[in-house]
Formats: sequence, structure tokens, C-alpha cells
Amino acid sequence: MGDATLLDELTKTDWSPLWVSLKTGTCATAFSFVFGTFAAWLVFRCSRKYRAWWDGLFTLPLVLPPTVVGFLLLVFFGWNGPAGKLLRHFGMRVIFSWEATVIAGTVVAFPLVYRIMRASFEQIDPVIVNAGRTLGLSELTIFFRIMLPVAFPGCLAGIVLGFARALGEFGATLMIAGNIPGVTQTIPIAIWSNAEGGNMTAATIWVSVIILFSFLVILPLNLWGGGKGNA
Amino acid sequence: MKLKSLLVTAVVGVGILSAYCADVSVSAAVSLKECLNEIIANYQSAAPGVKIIPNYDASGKLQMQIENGAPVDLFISANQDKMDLLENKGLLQKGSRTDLLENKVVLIVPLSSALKVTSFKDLALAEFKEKSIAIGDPQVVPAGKYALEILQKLGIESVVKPKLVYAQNVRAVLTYVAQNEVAAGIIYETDGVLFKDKVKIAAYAPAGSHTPVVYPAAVVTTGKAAKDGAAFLAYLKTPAATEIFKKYGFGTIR
Repeated sequence: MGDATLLDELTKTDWSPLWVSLKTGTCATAFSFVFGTFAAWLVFRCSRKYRAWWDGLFTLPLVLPPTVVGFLLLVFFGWNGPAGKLLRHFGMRVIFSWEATVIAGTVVAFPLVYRIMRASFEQIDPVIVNAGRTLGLSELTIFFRIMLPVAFPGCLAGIVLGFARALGEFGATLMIAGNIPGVTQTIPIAIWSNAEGGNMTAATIWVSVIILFSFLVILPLNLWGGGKGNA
Repeated sequence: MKLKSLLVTAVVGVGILSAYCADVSVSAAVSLKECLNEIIANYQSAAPGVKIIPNYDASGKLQMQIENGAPVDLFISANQDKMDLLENKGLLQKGSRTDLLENKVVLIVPLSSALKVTSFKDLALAEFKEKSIAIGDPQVVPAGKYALEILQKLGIESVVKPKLVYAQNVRAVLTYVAQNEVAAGIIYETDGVLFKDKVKIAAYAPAGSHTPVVYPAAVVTTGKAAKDGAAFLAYLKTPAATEIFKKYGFGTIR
């Protein structure tokens, strides 16, 4: 071990966790962005009476420990769960599949996107939105042509944070997707699995990858968003 | 003045008491849990003043804990590799290492499983195509390592490997199978028999398909009660203990 060079170690490494994490992170970010933005829009337009309840529900995955989220997903999608039974009917299965990593990533990233987008919408000058209404634009057009563009820096922040959260998700992913090298073993799971197995070299390689990757993703997006004035 | 002498007496008293009530820390492979608990109960009722504190987990986890300084007096591993790692680091008491038990490797399926499984080779068949199979993480769990050996020996490793879900110990594999989260799992015979109300044993590993499952035991030097640890290890070789091991399905080695 003392004679092994860094290059040796790097060529020996199984790089599948990188591809699993990239695929999972991208899909989970996309889904959580769509759902999060839509939820933010709903709550934004919601009557004051129910707003607190919807907000509480959508924020829940953020405050719950990841193992609680994982447990609830396991019960929901498991063999005897409502979604699990339905999927079984069609010969499909979620538990211990790659799709489960996307579900776990989406659920934990969703509340972040939701809160950021909701804050962004609330910062939009109501005058602009009302101007659109006086011009006879539909609510949907107002959403896509006025609100989203004005909330663009918020969109970027939502995507960045959502991606970071989905990329780093461990507890819930482990519970419903399991540790399947090449299929569901994301980088955080690879780090843990290798550390548990005493393979500190592999664990260190993955820790370095994730730190480097996080910087490479967050820095350009922040600089780009900052350039638009309103980061 | 009176308070000071009272304090001194108290400290000395506690010191004497702790010398008598030695806590013996035993780290053992998780398959031994119920069996060893029974043996410990018998031992403690026969030898009061000694308290055995067991710690059950995958052998690799236990070995890492000891390497990182956990105070352990006796270690029982599910394979020789993990014991070798400790011996090479000089953490075992010289001459205390001995082979204690034997076990067999089995394939288990959920009780409600409709799959036709009669041998390990069936894992490569089409009926397992979209399914998952749970084994212990080979880096940490000896049972996982034995499982990979079997798959390699039968020539089905490349077909089965993409379906493998790694669990942190054999009891986790058992849970995955019992809850139908996977279609099959590979654990020890003793676990399959103990939990036959949750899973069913579908097949036994063919003879010669894996390194024989031998549980070595040794006194570890990181703990504070090595003498009591050695005494307990000696007890584990007596008929009183081997009877209980046999009851749970473990093979005992003279």
C-alpha cells in the first residue's frame, strides 16, 4: 500500500458512483424544480387562511431527519405500501432500484426549491403582475412570461441548492434504494460503504471528488447569477 | 478530617469492588447474538462478580472498532481474515487465538416467495432477472465474502453481481428478505433456522464452493479485563457452552 502511487489508486477505483450521482442529481433537481416551483406558485396564490398549512406540509421534508423521510418512503413504496402494491400490479418495483434514488433526492430537494421560489415570488413587484392582468394576460402566461423571468436569480439559487441537496442525500437514499454498486451506490453511499469497510483510500477519493465537484458547480452559477445583479 | 477519611474509604472501596466486578467486553459476530446471550446468562449465574458486556455486529465493523482503540477483551469473528488483520497489528494476546465454531451458508427467500429456487445456481435464471439479491457488504461482512466466493465458484458471478444489494450485516440481509424488499438473500444456516418464521431456506451452498466458515476467537489486548476474557473463552470450550452452540446449529471444534 505504501508503494501504490496516486495514479494506481485512481485507475483501480470503480468510478460508477460518479455516474450514478450525476444521473440521480440531474433528474432529482429537474423534478424538484418543477414540483417546487409549482408548489411555490400555488402557495403564493393561496388564500391566507390555508397558507400556513400548505407551507408546513411542503417544508416538512426539510425539517424531518432524512431517516424519517426514508422510513416513510419505505412504508409508502414498500411491498405492502399503497404505492408499492399498485406498482406490483404492473410488475414494477421501486425499492432497491435506481429510480428510488431519484425519488429520495427529489423529496429532500423539493422543500429547498419551494422555499426559495416562494420567497422570490413574494419579492416580485405586484405592480408588474397587475399590469399584466390589466393587459388581459392569463395567469399561466403571467407565470411563465413575467414571474419566472423576474425570479430568475431565485431559479438559479433553487437549482444550485436543490442539486447540492440531492447530490448529498444519504439516509433516505440508503433506506429505499440500498447500496447496489453500479446501480444505486451514489457518492455519499460509496464514501460510507468504503469507510465502513476500512477502505480509507477509496473513501478519501470520493470525498475529494464531491468537494471539488460542489465547488465547480456552485461557483459558476453564483458568478453568473451575480452578474445579473440580483444574486 | 472525618470527611477526608470517609472519601478515602469510599474510593478504596470502589476500587476493591471494581476489581471483583470486572466488566468483560466481548465483541462477537452478530449471528452469535441469541446463542451467546444464553451462554453469558449461564456463565454469570455460575460466576457472580463478573459482568460480560457483549457487542454484536458484522465482524469487519468490530475489527475496525478494535483497531481504533475500542476496549475489548474477547473477539469472536465469522472468518479468519478479520482476526488476521488484528493479529498483524499485534492487538491479540499471544497464544489465545483458537478456532471455536463452524457454520454453513444458505440461500433464503421470503416466506411468500413464488419463485422456484432449489439451488444457488438458480440465482442466474431468468426468473431473477428484474429482482434484487441481498448479501452482506463483502468488505465488512464475512458472510458477504463467502457469498461472492460461492457465486464465483459456480460461475454465475457476472450475471448475479448487478443484482446484489449490500447490507451491513447478516441480520440486515435477513430483514430485507423477510420484508420482501429483495427476492433472495445469502446468510448463515443458523440465522435461517432461528428465523424460520420470517424466511425460508431454499438451498445450501454446495460443498467446496467457499472457504469453510470457521469462527476464530481470541483475547484482545485493548480491553482492561484480559484475564477474565481468557477465562470466558475457556468456558466457551466446555461442554456446558458447546451444548448450547450445538442447540443453535453451530458446529463446534475441539
